[in-house]
Amino acid sequence: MTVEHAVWADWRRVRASELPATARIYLGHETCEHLLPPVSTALELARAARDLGTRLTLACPFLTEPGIAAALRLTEALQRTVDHVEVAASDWGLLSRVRGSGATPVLGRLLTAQVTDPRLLRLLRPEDGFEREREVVHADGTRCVLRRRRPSAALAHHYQSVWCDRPDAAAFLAALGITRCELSCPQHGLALDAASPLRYSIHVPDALVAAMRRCPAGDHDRDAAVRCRSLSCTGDEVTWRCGGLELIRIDNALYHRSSAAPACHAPGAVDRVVDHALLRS
Amino acid sequence: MLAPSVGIVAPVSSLADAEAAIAAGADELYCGALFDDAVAIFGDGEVLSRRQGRPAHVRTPDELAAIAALGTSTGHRVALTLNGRYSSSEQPRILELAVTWEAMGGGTVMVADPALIVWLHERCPRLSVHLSLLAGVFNSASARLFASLGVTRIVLPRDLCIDEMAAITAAVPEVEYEALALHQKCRFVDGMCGFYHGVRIPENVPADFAYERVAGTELAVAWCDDPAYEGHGCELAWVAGEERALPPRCDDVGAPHCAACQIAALARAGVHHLKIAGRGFPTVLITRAVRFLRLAVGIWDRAKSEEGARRTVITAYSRAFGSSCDADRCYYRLNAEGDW
Repeated sequence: MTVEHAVWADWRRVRASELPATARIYLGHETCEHLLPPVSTALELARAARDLGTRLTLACPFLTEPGIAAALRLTEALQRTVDHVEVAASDWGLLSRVRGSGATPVLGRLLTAQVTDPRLLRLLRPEDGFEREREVVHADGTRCVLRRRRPSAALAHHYQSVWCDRPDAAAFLAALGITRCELSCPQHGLALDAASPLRYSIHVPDALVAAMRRCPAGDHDRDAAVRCRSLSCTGDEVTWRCGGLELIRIDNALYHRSSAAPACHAPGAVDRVVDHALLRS
Repeated sequence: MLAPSVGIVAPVSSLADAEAAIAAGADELYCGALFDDAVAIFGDGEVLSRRQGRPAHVRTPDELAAIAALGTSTGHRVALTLNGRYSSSEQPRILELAVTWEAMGGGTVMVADPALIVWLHERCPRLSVHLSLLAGVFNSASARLFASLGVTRIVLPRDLCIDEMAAITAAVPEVEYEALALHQKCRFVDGMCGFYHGVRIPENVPADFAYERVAGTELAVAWCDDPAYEGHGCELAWVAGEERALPPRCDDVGAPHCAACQIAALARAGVHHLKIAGRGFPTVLITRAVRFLRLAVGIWDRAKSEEGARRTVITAYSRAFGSSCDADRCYYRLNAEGDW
């Protein structure tokens, strides 16, 4: 099967003249509604992509009322400029509205509800040499040894699969016009059903781990409901560390980046790769 | 009366919890179920419901049936929490649990998996379906979609402000709305969190799992999925460079996140069910939470002014939890500008 190569274009950093000749570009924002591009900027990129013969996917996050209105305006503007606009949305409301607009709805990464925590490697691949047991002393003085229980095949499958891969879930999504889902490829790997009618896009190299309502800023922006100052969100990477764990914060989301390519047992199900690294620098 | 009829929804993990929560003044209950056969396959993490650990779940079918019966006999709704998004591995077990719950007389399930909603309406038509906040209803179009699937109540995300809730409830008034009001406000958007929620085995409390004698060690052995589990992603002390990346989580014992000052505003916004988070908390914390919210609802009911009610509730918070109320612990802002 041919795998479509798509490139993520951060509208804050990429000029229309810099778009590569590739099968598809993604623009928008996956996690923050305040970071969706202005219509003018999106149209400029869309025209450049169209002229290159490149198809277009608009990525949208979860959306409040004003956010969904903005996302629909953006979608309609893009549809007037290019053919076959896809909207990869992590918002059920937008997905339900997109189908009626003529664009193609795609299930966004945040709605696929993958567990992408890199610590799952300890759970699922205990033979890799992670700590296998430790001694514990309880409050009542009892001492015991905690040993790792080998994960069952069912537990491993739970963490490597996604809910939408079930036949009934695929049917539910199809009723909404959704036949594609966006995924991360987490460190512990993916196992998808080759017989599923769904097709999957894999975003590389970073697995999306969590999103906040607002970026931390200043004194950590203690209240997530306070309107953010989106002009300060530039897409710069900030490394978060805790013990041996390391994640990357980009805007209001956390990602795990690994140099090792995780296993992806998804014969035939994955037919698109979305590269976030190509235009990053 | 500043707060039209508002109900309190309490988490329970046992029949004793359920009896205590009702006695303390809860109007409704919710619980998860994790039986021995499921633990043998899936461990005691968050696979079958989004809460880890056996203490956070009802452990036997008999006890689950007793809770259903208690709810029926006392007129308290009990919702069974099936709020994961399920792979094909655990789906059969979830469906069986839903059928069993309906047969037991359980009236309600709380779900996040949209395809499960469709299945429930076809196979368990007597069950009311509530939508978990994990489904992520941030706008009225989402609420409308789930209402069209037959959901009768939506639990709104922790991340909304009250004005945003009002916009949703006004546009889709045909469903009921519920919001968290006490405990466990998380930094990350719950339904979109990819952190693994395992069971952390601290040393400073008695543990709750079965020990075995195993050759080669004089100590009792307990098996768990991840002996090194450090805690949930939002609990970790992340640093960015030299600085702390996240503020520390609030202490739910001494200074929980709280929406008691906002009960009237929530009710005006169309939210008439207040949820207490904390499945698996000790019974004493749950009953304390119920009593406090019951007191707060009563304060709002009798209040002649919002300012007066708020001051009285703040005093009640200090008495209940032993610490002063602080703006950092307010569950919600009124609007996106950050007003209280």
